[in-house]
Amino acid sequence: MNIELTNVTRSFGRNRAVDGVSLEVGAGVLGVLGPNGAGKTSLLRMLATVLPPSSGEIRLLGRDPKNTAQRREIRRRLGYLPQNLGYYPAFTVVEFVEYFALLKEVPSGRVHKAVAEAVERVDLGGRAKARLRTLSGGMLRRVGIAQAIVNNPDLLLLDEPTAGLDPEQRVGFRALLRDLGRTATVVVSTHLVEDVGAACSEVALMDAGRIVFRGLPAELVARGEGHGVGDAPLERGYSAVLQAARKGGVAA
Amino acid sequence: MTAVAGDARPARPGPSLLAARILRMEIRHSAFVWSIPLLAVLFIYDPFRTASGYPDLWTVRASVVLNKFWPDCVPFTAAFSAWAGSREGRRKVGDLLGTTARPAWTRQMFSLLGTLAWVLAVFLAGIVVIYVRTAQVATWGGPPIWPVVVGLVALTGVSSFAFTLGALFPGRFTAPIVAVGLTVLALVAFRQSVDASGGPIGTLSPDSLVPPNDAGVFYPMAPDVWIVQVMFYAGVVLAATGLLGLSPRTGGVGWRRALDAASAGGMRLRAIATTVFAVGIALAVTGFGLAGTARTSVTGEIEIPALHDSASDKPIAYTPVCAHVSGSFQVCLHPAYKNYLSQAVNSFRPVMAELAGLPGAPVRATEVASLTLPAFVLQDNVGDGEVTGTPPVYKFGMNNALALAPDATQLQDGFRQDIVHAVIVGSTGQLTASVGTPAQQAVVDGLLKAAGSQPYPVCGPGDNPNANRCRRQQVPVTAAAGRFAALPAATRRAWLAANLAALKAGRITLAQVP
Amino acid sequence: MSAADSAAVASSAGVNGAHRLAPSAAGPARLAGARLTSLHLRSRRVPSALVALAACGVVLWAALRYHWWLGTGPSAAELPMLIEGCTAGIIAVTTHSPFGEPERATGRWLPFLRLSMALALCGAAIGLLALGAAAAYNPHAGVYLASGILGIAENVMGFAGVGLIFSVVTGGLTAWAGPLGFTAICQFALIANYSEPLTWAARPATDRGGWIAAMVVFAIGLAAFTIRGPRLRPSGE
Repeated sequence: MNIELTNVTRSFGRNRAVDGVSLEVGAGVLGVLGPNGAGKTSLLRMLATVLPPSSGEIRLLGRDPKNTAQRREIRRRLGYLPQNLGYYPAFTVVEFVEYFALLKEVPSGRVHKAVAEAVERVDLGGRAKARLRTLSGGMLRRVGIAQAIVNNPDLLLLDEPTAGLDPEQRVGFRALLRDLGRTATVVVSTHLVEDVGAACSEVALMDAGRIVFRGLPAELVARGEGHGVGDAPLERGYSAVLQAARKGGVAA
Repeated sequence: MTAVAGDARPARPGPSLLAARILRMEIRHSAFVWSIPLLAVLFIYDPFRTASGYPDLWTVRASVVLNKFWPDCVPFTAAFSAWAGSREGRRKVGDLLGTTARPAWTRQMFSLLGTLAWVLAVFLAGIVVIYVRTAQVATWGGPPIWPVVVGLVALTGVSSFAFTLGALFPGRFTAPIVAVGLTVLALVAFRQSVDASGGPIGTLSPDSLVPPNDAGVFYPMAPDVWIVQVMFYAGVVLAATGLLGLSPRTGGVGWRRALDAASAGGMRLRAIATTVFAVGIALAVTGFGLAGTARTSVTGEIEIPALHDSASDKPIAYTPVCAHVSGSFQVCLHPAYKNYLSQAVNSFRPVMAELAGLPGAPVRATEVASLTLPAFVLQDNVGDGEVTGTPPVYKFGMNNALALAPDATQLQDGFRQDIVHAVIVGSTGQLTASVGTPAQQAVVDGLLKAAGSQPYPVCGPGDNPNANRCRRQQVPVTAAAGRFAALPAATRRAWLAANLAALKAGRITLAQVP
Repeated sequence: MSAADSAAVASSAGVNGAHRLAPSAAGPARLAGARLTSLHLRSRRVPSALVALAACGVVLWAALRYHWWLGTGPSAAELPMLIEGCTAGIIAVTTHSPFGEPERATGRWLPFLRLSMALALCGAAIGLLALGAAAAYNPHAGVYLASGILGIAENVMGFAGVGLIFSVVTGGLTAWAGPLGFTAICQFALIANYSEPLTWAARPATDRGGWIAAMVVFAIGLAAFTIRGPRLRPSGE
């Protein structure tokens, strides 16, 4: 298992953003759905080792992130794209991705090739030398994806990765996710249920800091049969599970 | 979603309510608040403690408003104003805000006001504290308004200028560079004001030398320099805020388009910004030009000829406060110095008990404006008064006596030294200072020693060849003074009665002093 | 598009892409460190900071050369102290990272980069101010910096230490407030003749207590900044 969470909690003051989450994830693509404020971003930040849990145990790639040396090792194998990605406007696409490749200690002889591959994989080869300030929002998002995959991560965490991508690019991105999920653990936090349906081998639904559903997309669809809210099967399943969870008691 | 017939939107609040709400948000979120604790500490240790150590006079205590508190506020005002001005650029929300109905210029004015409100509130709070404290101890006059006005307008000028720089150059380095740059400018301007040939920059500096103790006491303080300062800084405010409405960097459309639009009757707001900017520049240039014409007036102040009202050169009428010292001898002070009357009485009493009634001795001591005394009387180590007139009156000034930080013993010694020197040595017919003949020095020091005071400071302070040589030469004088002080008081008085005229004329030698 | 197709496309695109993208950092592995350092410094706007520091040196030169202030004795240190505080504010602001959390979720080089950048900028600030003072030096005309390079070094490092501490607490973009406030305190101490080691800038440059205090503050700031980095907001600003 690449991700092992045991009763993990994270609080911000009196707000319990993640509430007793236990999770085991191996290779594949796990989609994390949930309403705003469900705790998806906090969960991803803990998996990215940039936010420590308030309580509970986390093991990533078989290592303990509390240990400094093991945390470094995790981060060499980690790719992370946050919801709001900061960037230096004067960097070019290549420079931005290269910077992260170097920080992630990609072997120096492989940096150039890895950067080129990552840029091509997100279909920005034609804008490789463009400065970031000249790119559209969707292109910037793809640059963010490129920096996350430049080190061929074993653990890839993506928060709203398709925000700003056009439908064609989203199709290509889902294919990329499936490809990456063959050997790595990919966790995608998203609002777009169609992304989950098309690319994810598993889906988890969070609400109020807890995982209220975990299973296959088809199982989520099944939960929505007969449920009136939603324009698509997955949406109906999503609404049905949330409704049940809020009424007090559907376990994942 | 179905359309709702008769689209019932809530009524928009009036413009003044909208403005108040926006302003309230800006004030609540201003970063300047974070500097208030440090400013409070600086205020206590710098302007407040300094003012508390000054004499109990309105003008000199109020001088800390511009000499201490204003320069303390400048770096923080500049830094946080520049920070506020650069907000939209740093956050890259220009496009987003540009789609709103409210013009960029008015939006930025609210942002500026959000910081400025705090700046002025803190500044006024400090002034209130200083003025309340002064009101508790001062015995004459009232709170000067001009330093308050100048301080407020100058701080507004600093804030608006820094804000505009931040808006035009919204980089991460802008705030510290603008803060230090304007502080350096203020410091250099202050030094120029101290320098005799400071020029207009020095004249425009709100931070300047501490005024003499009797400034504004005997003669009104001419507001010329303050008017010019207000003119200049108001010009800076208008020019900076007008520039915000014009510059393309801050949502404006630039000179030419603004003028074209104005002449075509459109874009009224742009035309207003142009006018404001032009008026500001004119005002600032006028103020700068007038400051260049500054000169020293007959009352010793800086005046601007084009603005000067000669009525401010006429003395202020007052009723002195007097007290008896010894026999018929009395001391009279200006009511502003009423708190020092008892000290003056106690200081003069022992020496006048020896001198009163002697030929040529004064019948009373009266405080006058220092500038009415001969220049050599006011020199260091010579004295702060002269005996003049018929009947002889000891006229003295309080400037040197108080010396900004009056220690009770120093004040007492100063009073005694000055009057004894004036009576024994005198200044009749002299154009330059004189410490007196050795015999005169010995008698002066002997009387002072008998009264329990320090000898007259003939030699300068410090350890240097001139002062050391002087002290060696004073040894026989000091010995003679000791002998004279050891005499019974009646013997001293009898000798003085017989020899005072000859002593003053310089015909008594040191050996003839008993 | 099936997963296999897209993978094939991606791989071939990657191979083609390697040819399309001209090498920007080709060369032996040892150049990777230089490349990383260069990108890191650019992302912190260090080139602009160096220009700003050079401008501070020019201002110091002009202030000395043209006798911008007349203070003697302790007052002679007022204006240089302000300029030294400005350099510390500039150094403090360069600590801001535009990347946010993803940069922290990487390997081990970031602390070394932070440490090197802070030390290099302090050195540059000291050097540029010393250059400005040296360029104006004219003892016959009474033009010299009273505190000398010792004073510059002590103040720049001490104030920068305050700035680095502030960057850990408030974030890089607002870290300038620390050196600015501390400079104001030292200015007041200078004028009022207070003599505490913590207001080292108000003491003579050769004063041992002042040096110890300044270096302790610098060491604490440097260590905190190196280990923790500047405070981040979740959005990365």
